[in-house]
Amino acid sequence: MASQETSQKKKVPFFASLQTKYAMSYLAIFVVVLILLNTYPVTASQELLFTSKRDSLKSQAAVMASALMELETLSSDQVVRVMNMLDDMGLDRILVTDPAGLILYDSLKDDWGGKTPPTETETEKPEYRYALYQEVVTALRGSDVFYSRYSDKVFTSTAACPIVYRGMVIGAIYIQELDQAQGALLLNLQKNLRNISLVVAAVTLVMSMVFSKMLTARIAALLRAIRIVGEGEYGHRLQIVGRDELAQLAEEFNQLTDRLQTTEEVRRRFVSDASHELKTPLASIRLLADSILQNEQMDEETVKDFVCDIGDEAERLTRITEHLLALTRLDSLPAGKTEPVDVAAVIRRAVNMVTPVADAAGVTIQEELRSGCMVRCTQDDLYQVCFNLIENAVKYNFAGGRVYVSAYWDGDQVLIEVADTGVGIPEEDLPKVFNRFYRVDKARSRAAGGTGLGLSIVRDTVRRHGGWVIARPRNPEGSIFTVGFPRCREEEGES
Amino acid sequence: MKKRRRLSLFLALLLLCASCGTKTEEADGGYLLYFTAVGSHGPALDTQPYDPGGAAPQSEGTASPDPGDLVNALLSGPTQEGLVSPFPRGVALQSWEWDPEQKGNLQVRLSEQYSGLADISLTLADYCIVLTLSQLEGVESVEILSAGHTTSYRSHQVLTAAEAVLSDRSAAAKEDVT
Repeated sequence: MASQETSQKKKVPFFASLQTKYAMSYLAIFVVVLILLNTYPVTASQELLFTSKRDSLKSQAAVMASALMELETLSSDQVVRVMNMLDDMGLDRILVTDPAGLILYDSLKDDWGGKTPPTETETEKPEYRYALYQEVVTALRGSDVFYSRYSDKVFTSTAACPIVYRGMVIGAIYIQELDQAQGALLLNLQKNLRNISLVVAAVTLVMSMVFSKMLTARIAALLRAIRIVGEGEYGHRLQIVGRDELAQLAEEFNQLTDRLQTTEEVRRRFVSDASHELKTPLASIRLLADSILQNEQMDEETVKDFVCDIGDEAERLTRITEHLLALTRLDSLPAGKTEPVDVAAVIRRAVNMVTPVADAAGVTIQEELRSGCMVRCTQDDLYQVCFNLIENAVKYNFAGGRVYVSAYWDGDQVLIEVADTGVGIPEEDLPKVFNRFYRVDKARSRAAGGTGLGLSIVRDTVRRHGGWVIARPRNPEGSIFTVGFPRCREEEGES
Repeated sequence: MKKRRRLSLFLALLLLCASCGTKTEEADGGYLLYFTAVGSHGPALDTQPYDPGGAAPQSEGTASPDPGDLVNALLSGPTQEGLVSPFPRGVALQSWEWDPEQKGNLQVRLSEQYSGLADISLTLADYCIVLTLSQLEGVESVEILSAGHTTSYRSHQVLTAAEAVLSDRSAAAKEDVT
């Protein structure tokens, strides 16, 4: 229920969603393409038609002008006669004017279909009409002119040219063509393009939705997986599809979740182990205290023993909590101020500290410390590492056994080795000895007062200062722990 | 009864509006001056409104300009962009009079410079005058004389506004049909 509410809260608004954005971007691209598709071909066709019409009309006007220039001077009768002999070439209007613009021939009035026009009677009043169009005026001033426009589904084209005889303009010819067929063709082209565009737009819309859905479905799956893992279900994994960036992202997510799951398991185990470790001495204390309280006839000697045991258990509890605190500090706090530390001096201090315990256990500690073994660390951390290792070597040794402690440098590294002749560690347990609360022999460890955290503290401390630690079996018996630190040279230490 | 009264009121209002319209047109100086237009397509002549307060003063005591005012306004040239004067420099109006022999025919006498025009330039200048003057009441035709003589190479001397064809109507008619 809560997760449903969360997912509803986190629901992306439709227009802000990645899918919509992808779909919109596809659409925007296609809209631009469609606009181009609907404009460029039509404009280009129009230009082409204009050019073709200009050439055609100009040549028609030139043909007529050349026929008329044979007349030398233009009179209405002669012009009408000549023009009636010529083909109208599908033109809608032809005008022939004299140099003053007086219309001598108008195809709308004077076209007799090739027949001889009737002669004017003397009584009939002559009709004067002057073509005062820009085209005619321009032609009478000696220039060719062409004009064309496309509107209302019709191409209207006009052309005019002067009729020149011996360098003199003796008149002008004006022709006009109204082309509905080409107009209809252009209109059809426009219509077809529009229909195609509509189909393309519809297909694009569907495809952009499908593609964007395909793309964003994997992102949505990733988002879902993140939410599921966020809710604590660390076992959830994504199915990797393809080899693209999203597949890599899914792979990274799975690896991250693996690490998260491992960390979570380690944390749980640690909490469980810590609880168990704390519970054991507490249970002993409770049991001993109950025994004392419930048994009134208990003799004083036994009571003293029990109280002594309670003290031991309390001491163990203190040790465990101190170690846990040390580990927590190592996990969370940054390393203190480091300085060049002489490893030999620190080892000697740790050996001195452990010697009473070793003497009590009948274990001999031998040192072989080379001078000049300097590492960059804190005194306390290095002491803790050395002390833990030497103390372990003594604790898990036999009476009469030996512990060999050596320090030397090899190249850029300073190596500390602690070897013992003790019980040793089985081969299969060697990788686990640094895990928290891991014990090879639990009974012996507890008896020796171990917390199962000493080697964990050693590993975390060494790593914190850029070092490493390994454990290996010693021939013929016991174990060897080797710690490596980057060597700190004198001049480096001083700087 | 009520309906009738309303109808008569509506008609009266319509009449009033119509009369207002006529007055406004005259007040706006409804006369146009024709000049040569600049361009490559369309009519070769275009108009600009006649401004009585402009170059040519209106005759005293008359509500509308006399032919002399309009011709003088024409000769002083256009004030609008896209228009060009078709008249040669220095042309002046000498006089104008009604033809005593032909009713409605206005005779306009211009100075000698006008005879310098020929062919299409003469036609354009002639019809700028004819179309402008034909707006005046009573003017049916115009006869233009230069230095007291008619121009012999004109096709005819008595010019009417109907003779000037300013646009190709056939195209418009055909476009309408389509």
